[in-house]
Amino acid sequence: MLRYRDGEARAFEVLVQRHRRPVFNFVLRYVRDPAAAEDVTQDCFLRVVRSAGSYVRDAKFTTWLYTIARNLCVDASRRQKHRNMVSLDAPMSDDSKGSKVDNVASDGIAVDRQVIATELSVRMQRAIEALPDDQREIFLLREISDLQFNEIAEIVGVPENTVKSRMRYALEKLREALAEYRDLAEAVR
Amino acid sequence: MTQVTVMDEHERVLDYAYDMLSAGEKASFETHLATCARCQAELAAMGHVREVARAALPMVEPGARLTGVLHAQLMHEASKRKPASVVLPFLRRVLAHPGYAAAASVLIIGGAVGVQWSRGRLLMPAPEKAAPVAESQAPVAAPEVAAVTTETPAAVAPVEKNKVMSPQPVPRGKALDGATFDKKTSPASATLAKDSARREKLEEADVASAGAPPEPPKRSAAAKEDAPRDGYAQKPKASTRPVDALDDLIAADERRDRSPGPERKGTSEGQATHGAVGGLGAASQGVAQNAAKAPSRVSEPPAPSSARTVEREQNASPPAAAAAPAPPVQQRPSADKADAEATYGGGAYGLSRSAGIDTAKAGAAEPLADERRRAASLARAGRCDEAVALYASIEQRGTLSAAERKSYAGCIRTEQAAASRRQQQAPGKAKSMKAAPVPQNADVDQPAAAEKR
Repeated sequence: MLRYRDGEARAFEVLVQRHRRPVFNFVLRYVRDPAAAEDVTQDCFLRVVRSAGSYVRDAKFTTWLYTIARNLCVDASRRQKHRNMVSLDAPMSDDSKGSKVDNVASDGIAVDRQVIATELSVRMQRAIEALPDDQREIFLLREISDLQFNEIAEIVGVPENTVKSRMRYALEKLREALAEYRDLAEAVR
Repeated sequence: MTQVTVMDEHERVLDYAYDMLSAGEKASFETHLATCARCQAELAAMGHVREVARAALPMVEPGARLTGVLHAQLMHEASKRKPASVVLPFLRRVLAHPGYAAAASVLIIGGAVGVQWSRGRLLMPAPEKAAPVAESQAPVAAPEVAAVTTETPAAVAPVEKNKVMSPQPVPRGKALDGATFDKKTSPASATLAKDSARREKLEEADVASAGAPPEPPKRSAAAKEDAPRDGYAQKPKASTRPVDALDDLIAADERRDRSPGPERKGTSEGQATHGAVGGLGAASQGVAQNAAKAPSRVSEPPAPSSARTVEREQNASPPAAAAAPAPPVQQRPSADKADAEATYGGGAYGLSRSAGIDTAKAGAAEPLADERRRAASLARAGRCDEAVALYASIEQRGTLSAAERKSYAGCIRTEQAAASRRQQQAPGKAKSMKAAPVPQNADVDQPAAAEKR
């Protein structure tokens, strides 16, 4: 980033190649919309370009980058709150086939292991999406972006102990959400 | 104490799960974990949730749109950015260091104080610097006083045509120079009127200064005697009555009549400046020297625009008519030479015209010589009513010279002053004096002024 700030345009491409995928995944799990995630990711890097002159090497570039991404995600989530109606016909993701309705767990007993694993994944996604925003962002930053708690604290702007506490709450809720599938999960193992 | 320690160990499950403990802490927690079923269960649940979560949230590759169009757009935007300036990082480095920051602040504060100090010195002129300013003002002011003394009889009449004559002092810059006011002289008068207050301050500063009194470079001896020590024109001290002014005029006229030839032949800068004027300028200068020796009796402040007007009048007047004291031409600032030449060029033209008229009517005026002398003697004797009547008859039949016009105007003014006094005593009687006849050609260089306008 320092090289790009000093005028080396090629260095920015290296930055994009290195951070685009984790940032995009974090944004995707945060805003839960692939198109919006692409826009937010693009906007995030544009902010980096425009703010490169004011970049100071006080913290890691990753922290600075995720701070921008997280703020954009918060704005995007607020805009989406009014139209947060996810269609069941929407595709699961780019690499998955079928629609969300095909992945909704049925009331019947799943006998196939793959079906159980898929159902567990869907339950986990729903449980993660059901987390409060402050817990969810910390869970995503820790599990997807693989940031340390002190970095997350800097990004979110809260003390590190608060971050750990929120993480603990998030894990507790996810465990409760998966409790009924514990036996199935153990069976899948 | 034991409970607190156990609680601390329970709190470390998260750190242990994410491998955030140091080696000693990790060993201590593993010791606790071996004996604590709760921590074991919690650690197992955390591991299970994380495993399922990672399976449920696989890393997704960005779409083609983000890697294609948006990426190109992003790179284009990034390439447009100019390199960061060198100054800003340098300033950041400087300000980041406490010593550099202190030095920079001292420099900034010192610079600001220095600038303010130098400005303060510039805004407060030293006394020795005020003297040249006063000296530069003096040549402008000095001719004004002389101009006032010169023009008093003739200049007052046209202005006061439309108002009741009053013996009270004429307001500054109105009546005295109103008669000869034209567009050429108006800027100078405006400037001098604006600077009147400043001149007073400069006078005070000049008096306060210890230096020698500045004097105009070529001031005549008489003017030097009369001039105050501060280098400015002497303010008139005499009475303000028009009758006195007329007396001055008459006395100057008499002195002129008695003055020998060489005095009239004196060379002057005015003559050099107004080459077209020739001997007229020399005669004017000689009379001006005479008049400068005589004490001025007009107490009104100098008329701003009268300096050049006097010059024009001197040039326009025939030698015999240059009776009033004129300012020393040398006192005119050299910076105004171009402007003065332009002005005096018009005056010379006016002079040639008026002189030509006088010459053409000279033959007709010859038979009126007795009446002229009689009118002049009446005016000197103070019998202004008779003098006015006689001058009116002469004007109807011939032409009045400049001196006669001045005398005529002075008589009219005297009459009007007397009427005003009578009006104060018996109101209503003075109304008839409002329509007192005023010579049409009271202003000698009126043709020239009309030409300029």
